[in-house]
Amino acid sequence: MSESTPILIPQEIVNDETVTILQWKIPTGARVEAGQVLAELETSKTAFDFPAPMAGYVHYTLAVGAEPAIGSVLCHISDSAERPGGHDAPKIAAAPTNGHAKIHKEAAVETAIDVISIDHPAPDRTVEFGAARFSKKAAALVAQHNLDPALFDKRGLVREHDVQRLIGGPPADIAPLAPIVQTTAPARSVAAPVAAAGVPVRDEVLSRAKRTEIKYLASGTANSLTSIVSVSVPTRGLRAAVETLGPVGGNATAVILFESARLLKKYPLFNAYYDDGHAKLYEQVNIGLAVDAGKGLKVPVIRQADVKSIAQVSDEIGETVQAYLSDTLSVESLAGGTFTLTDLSGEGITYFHPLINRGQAAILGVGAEHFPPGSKEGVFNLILAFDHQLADGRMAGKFLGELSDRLTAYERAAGSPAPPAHSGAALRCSNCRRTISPTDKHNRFLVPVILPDGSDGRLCLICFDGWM
Amino acid sequence: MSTEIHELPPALDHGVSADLYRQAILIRKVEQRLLSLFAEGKLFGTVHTCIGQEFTGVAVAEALRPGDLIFSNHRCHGHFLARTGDTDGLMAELMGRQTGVCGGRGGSQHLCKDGFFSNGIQGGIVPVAAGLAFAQKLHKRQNVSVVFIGDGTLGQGAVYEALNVASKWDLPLVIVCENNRYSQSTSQHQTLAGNIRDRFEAFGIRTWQGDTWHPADLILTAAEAINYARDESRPAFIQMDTYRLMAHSKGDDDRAADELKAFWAKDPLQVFETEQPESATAIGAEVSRVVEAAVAKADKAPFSCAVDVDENCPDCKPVHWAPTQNDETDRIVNRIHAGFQRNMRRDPRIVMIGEDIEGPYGGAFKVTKNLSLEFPGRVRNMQIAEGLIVGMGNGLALNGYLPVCEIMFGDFLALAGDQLINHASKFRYMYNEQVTVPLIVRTPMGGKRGYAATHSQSIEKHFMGMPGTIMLAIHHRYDPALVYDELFQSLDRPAIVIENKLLYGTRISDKVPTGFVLEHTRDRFPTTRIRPEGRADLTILCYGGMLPDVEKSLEALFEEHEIIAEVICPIQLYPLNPWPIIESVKASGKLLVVEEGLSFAGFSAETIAQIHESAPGVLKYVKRLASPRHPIPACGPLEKAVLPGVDLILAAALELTRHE
Repeated sequence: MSESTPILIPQEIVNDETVTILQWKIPTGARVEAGQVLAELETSKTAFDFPAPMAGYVHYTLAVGAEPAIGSVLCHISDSAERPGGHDAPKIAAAPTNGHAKIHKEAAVETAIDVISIDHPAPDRTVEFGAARFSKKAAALVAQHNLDPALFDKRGLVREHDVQRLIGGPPADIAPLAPIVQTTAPARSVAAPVAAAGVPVRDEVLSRAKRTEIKYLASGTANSLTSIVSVSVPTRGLRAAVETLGPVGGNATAVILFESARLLKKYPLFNAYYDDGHAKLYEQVNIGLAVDAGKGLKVPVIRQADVKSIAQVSDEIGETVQAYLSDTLSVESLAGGTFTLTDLSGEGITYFHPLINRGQAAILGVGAEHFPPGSKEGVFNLILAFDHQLADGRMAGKFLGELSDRLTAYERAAGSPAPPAHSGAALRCSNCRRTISPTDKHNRFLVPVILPDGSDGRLCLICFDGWM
Repeated sequence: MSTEIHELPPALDHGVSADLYRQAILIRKVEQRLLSLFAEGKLFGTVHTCIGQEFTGVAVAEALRPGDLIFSNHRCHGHFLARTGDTDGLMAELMGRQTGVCGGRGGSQHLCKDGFFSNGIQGGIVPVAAGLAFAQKLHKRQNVSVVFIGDGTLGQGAVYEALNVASKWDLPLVIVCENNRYSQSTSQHQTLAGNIRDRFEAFGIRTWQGDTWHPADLILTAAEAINYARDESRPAFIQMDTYRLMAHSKGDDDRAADELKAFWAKDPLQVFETEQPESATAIGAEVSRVVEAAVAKADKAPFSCAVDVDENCPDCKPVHWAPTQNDETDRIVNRIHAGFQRNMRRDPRIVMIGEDIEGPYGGAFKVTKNLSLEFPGRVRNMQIAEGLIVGMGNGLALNGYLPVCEIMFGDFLALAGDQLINHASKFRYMYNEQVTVPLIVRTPMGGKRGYAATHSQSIEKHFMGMPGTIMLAIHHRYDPALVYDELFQSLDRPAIVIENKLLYGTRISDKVPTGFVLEHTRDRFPTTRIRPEGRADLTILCYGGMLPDVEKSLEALFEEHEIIAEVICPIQLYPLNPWPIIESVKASGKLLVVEEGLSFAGFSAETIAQIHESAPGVLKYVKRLASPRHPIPACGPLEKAVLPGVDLILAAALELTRHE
């Protein structure tokens, strides 16, 4: 009987359970040399060439398009062109590591342990862990940082260190997410109040919520040298975005938040806070969304907004507003966010001065659409209040300019003819729904991927790689 | 020490015909040859000869019909030859050859052929024979079951348990007592109170008496008794007075020489040889040729060889897991009942016996409820006699039925120990796979109900691991009705099913604690896994009634202590498939085994050994949590404090996870 060694599929991507066989480079029964490409395999992220780990005759039964599990047998390599009969015999090479199939000859005792891992079938995809469950410590940490528990959906059991990982490391290693700046003054405006002379005064205690709000805003202001820049942006782009995205993300606030979040990766000094000669840069983009619809100002936070799709952002905003209106917001303060978006366009306000929140370096205000005298084209203002201790007006201007360009680009995308797509339909990024824009150097390619639901999709380079 | 002569043999009226002589001398010559083979070193172990008693078997065999069954004892060669005439098979069996009636697996005391069985255990065979008779009656066959005992066997309580049921249930059971006056070396004058027949008559059993010095009369007596049992469907007792002319076994004879001499002088075969020497010589020569031919054939046959015994172990690797979905949410007790009901409707071979199991009482834990009303005659209350219950089950299983024996409390399983250890688990193998014993013994185990030391134990470990059996423990994560479905449809060996008392009222559920998923293997009797996403800090192995407590600990470990555990809970405890456990331990490295019984030489010890044998190195830290090393106290709070429960599991898990 000829010697036959099973070749196992290596783990390339941690999250993958299977690979797809895109192409066999060697016909079954043919000879292959060690290192010669055997097959082209595809993971959820990329396609890669799989080299033969040893020389011999290749035998396989899996067809192109098959999705074998990681760790399962891809093929056998034997010393004979004859197809060995006993492929099912428990002759197993050890688990591959580092992406390369290591070959062990059969050695029953020594490989006994390895056999387990190899034979272990891929977990059943239908298993759903659903909403996360928090340990008491984890729950406390989530509450402490005003994190949205939904961040941990499908993560199963969440422990303290899982939360710490999300907020950037164990407690010893990092500063609190949103440190309270110690001031000797009481948490209110710095100067002592002076009443108007001779006018009678009625004393009313402010609500607890309002006092909390003051404390946070005063703290932010006190620690900041605030400067403001503003640009006017044509409304057409935003309108086009809302129309194009439709039910997916047809929400102007969502589009602005989505684009801001991605841009903040490029302008980290707006996603930071100042601390005694140091710029403390947040490693996540958590955008607080100031909401005030008559029930007091609240700033729920959209976590890791830079890695969410526009649809996700839009959904979360919807949920947040619902929660606000039904008084079920679990997040009741400004802490936890790394940047804030405040949109007063609904109030008809075209220009205002937003206040930077505690532990942050910038806040973006969005004004209502208005028409400059003599113009039929509507514009709206983007107002960036920022901490001049970290950034400067030029940088703020560039930030706003780039954001303006991004928002306007939706119009171009919507208005440009559909590119000659293979499918005939417009090629869009499956995540952010951008089309290919010939003018955008970041957006010249859409990368074919397999989406989490298993369908085929494409990602723009921005969504694939992030902003560089 | 020699014993005095108590009683001489009665006057001889042998009436031995040439034909009777031929039958008896075959037995004697076979046994004499066995003794010489023993001296030649060609036999294994010892032999118990019936030299002097040959006509007991001959007399019974004369009256039997096809379909009648015999259960004999350690001194069974004569009975076997009289009933089957298979000299070759017997000789080869005793010489350990593959051509023996049991392939050399059984040996002298464990023969099986065409409805003839023997076993070397005194007393326990009588309940089995009663079970055979019960099956004959259920089959509505005009057949009897005969059991051979000796006067020495009268010391065993199991005999009287069986006599009671045989009389009460009108079983066609013929009990033949070969009264040879000695229990091995002890005279019955030292051990036997009253007289023998009175004992049987006390149960309302008709008795007969004969002796081997009047063989013709003995044959008539045996025929009368056996026909009575057959025609009336009643038990019958025959006392056959006789005398063993050779030692009980080998070299253990200290009876008085005078006594032996007197009996030898009246031996009917010797008398026949004296009276009819020509005929005797001719028959003797012919029989000797048969015996020598049997020896020669056996001598050429190969020894019995090791064969792969199907241990019914699930195919170990790989372990396939599937998500568990239970549509049923009823209580366990109702699910067991439902399993019985639907299988009894489907399969008329299923019969249930036990204490207080008939409706409306329906068993101490109400598992059998009104099954006796739906299935008249197939669910039977029995006297309080666990050995008898399981012994009857053995007989029913040997004779075409699927018996279910309920043992009211698991503690009482000890009373059925002989039937499980020396009978149920042995028959299939030692009878060379000629029979199977599809017997289900189910019993509630476990404490925490205040029943104290003798009604709260988990003693399954004492019965775990008997080769040829399986042991299952049901739990609330897998529908027990499915377990019983599988048992009834594929059972080919004794199964002991452990049903935890506290679980009876628990509902079947697939709703595991949030953050975990419920899965099971695709085995006949699945192993359940409660898995967190990702790697667990430790693996907790448990079964049966410990699972709910382990699940609660799982939650507390996570909520309070930041520890994530994975639970493995097999249904099939024996044979155990260690691979689902190994798979988990390989990731966690730490194993906590929780069992409600004692851990010394128990399930946990065995499992840990198997894991280490099968996958050396995966097990880094181990802890066992089990019953305390004292009897279970009655005081409720104390009982709860000492038996494994949530608090102790937590403490053990925390201790285990302190290791890095």
